Amino acid sequence: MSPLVLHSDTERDLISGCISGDRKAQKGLFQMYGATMYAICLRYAQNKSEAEDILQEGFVRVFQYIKHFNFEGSFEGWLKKIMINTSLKYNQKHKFCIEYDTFAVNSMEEYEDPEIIHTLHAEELMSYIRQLPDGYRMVFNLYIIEGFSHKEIANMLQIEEVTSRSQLLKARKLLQEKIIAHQKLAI
Amino acid sequence: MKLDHQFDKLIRDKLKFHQTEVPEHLWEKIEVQLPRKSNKFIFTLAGIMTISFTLILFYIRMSDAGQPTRRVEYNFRTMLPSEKFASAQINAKKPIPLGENQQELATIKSNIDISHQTKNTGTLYTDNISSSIGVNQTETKFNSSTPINQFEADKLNIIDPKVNLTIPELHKPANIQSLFGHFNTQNRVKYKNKDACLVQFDGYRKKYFLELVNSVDLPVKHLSAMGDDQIKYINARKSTENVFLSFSTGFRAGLAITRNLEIMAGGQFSQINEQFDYTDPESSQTKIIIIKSYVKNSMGETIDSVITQQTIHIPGTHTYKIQNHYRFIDLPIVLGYQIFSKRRFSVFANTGIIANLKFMQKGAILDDDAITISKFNENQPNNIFLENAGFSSYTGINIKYALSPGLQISLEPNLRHQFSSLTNDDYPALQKYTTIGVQGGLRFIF
Repeated sequence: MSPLVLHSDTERDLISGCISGDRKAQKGLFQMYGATMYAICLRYAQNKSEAEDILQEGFVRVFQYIKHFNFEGSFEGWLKKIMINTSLKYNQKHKFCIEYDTFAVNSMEEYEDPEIIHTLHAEELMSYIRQLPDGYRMVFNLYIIEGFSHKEIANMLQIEEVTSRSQLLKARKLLQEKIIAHQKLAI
Repeated sequence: MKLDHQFDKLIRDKLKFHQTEVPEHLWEKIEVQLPRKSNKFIFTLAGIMTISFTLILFYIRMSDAGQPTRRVEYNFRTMLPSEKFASAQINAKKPIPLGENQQELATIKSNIDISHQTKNTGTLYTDNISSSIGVNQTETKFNSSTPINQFEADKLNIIDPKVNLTIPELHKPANIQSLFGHFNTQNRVKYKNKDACLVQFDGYRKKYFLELVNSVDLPVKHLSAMGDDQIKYINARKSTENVFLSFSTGFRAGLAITRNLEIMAGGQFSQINEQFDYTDPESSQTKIIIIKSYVKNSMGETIDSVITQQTIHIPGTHTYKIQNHYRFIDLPIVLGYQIFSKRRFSVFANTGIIANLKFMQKGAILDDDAITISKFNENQPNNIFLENAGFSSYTGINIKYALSPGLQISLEPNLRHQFSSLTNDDYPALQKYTTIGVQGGLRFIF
């Protein structure tokens, strides 16, 4: 049974408007959630241009399928799911081959102080994530931020579970290196 | 490992609810890809009305066909054009001499069948009426050999000598023959073709018709700003766009519900023509100037001349003339009421609703920066105009002239007014038209 989610009147009105094809409601919904969804797209994309394409494609799909939203779960969660799926499809469609290497990497020992992340702005952190190779970036986002398991990620990306794990370790290592480099520069 | 988890959590907390400002132009890009709001309501309404109208026509036609005789209300006076006839009937108290009458009937070849139905309200019902040019020859015919000595004029109960008669004895064929013989004898009325036309149009209450119409239109454009900051833009558009003579063409199928009332529905294509004059500010015109310099001496006399040539570029001089066409496919539903009728002429006041089925545009207009332009064509949706123009009102005065029992020509000065703007909600201006037109029509009556 789905958990009870309360939708605000504004959100409900906007969704109903979008279902009936009202352009103003569609614009209102875009203005309400555009910034959150754009941030998600930016994490999955390599650059802003790609992120804009994904957001555009994602919202077109949202308006296309919004009639199937039955007000039972969180609408924002539903939107996020569409944006993530669109991001994954975009990467599969526009990048002929995403390399997923399977070498095992040990957990980082030299990374002593995770609190260093507090010194970073979210935008800086996002730009470091965008610099990760495509395969690393996908797994990193899906596992760490979205909270999917390696099994789920393996299904979504059609890779081995072990590959997902190794990608995550490498992504984490690479990101930590970038953060440490940033810290050294700051000092 | 523990550090990794801590690292993951910190990143998740920092990014999970992060928002990034969306570039301004992105909504426009999305909007272009979105399907326009469906016009299901309008199409459904138009469909229901068309089907209903067709079914009503079909039902009436079938119910007519199912009856043994066609019952048509007929005005006696209309059938007989001369008013002298009526006054002559008032005085007819005696049996009428015959021989001459018989000959008269034979001459005019008008066969009249008045069978079995009379009405005390003063209107005579006949099964059919035909003349020498009539559409249906009736079965009951009178010929010169039939004795016509049974007519009893004193049984005629004349209620209104100018308009209606109640004739209880008319069901007897012999009496009918006598009566019409008498009419012709007394008044020497010859049934010519034009009178037969009158009989046809004034007599029938139920008529189906198909009308082909063409109209020459002069549109009046209503262009208004959504806000004060757009007035400059609207003025720029008004100064660059001019409406031209336009047209519409189509058909109307209809039914005469009563003698004075008819309903029509059909299909119509109309086009509004405009010219957009645009001066491209980035264009430049290249001109070659020839300069002739004169060399003069100290006395001021010209002793020589030098010709030089220069090329100059004049900016913003290229003016384009773009023909804009706004095309509409409409479903008109019109109700007509007869306000005047005399012989072959009749005048109807028409009013109704025009439901748009499809609205198409081709051409270009100024953008809201009043500098650049937006082009649009029929094959691609655009951000400016809707795909459906909604409803319009229709008013017209239809002047008809009967050429024959089955054919009429008409002239109809008319006014059409669009109820709603043709532009999208997001477009900063409202644009709609009122069209004044003169419509010529050709009506085929069945």
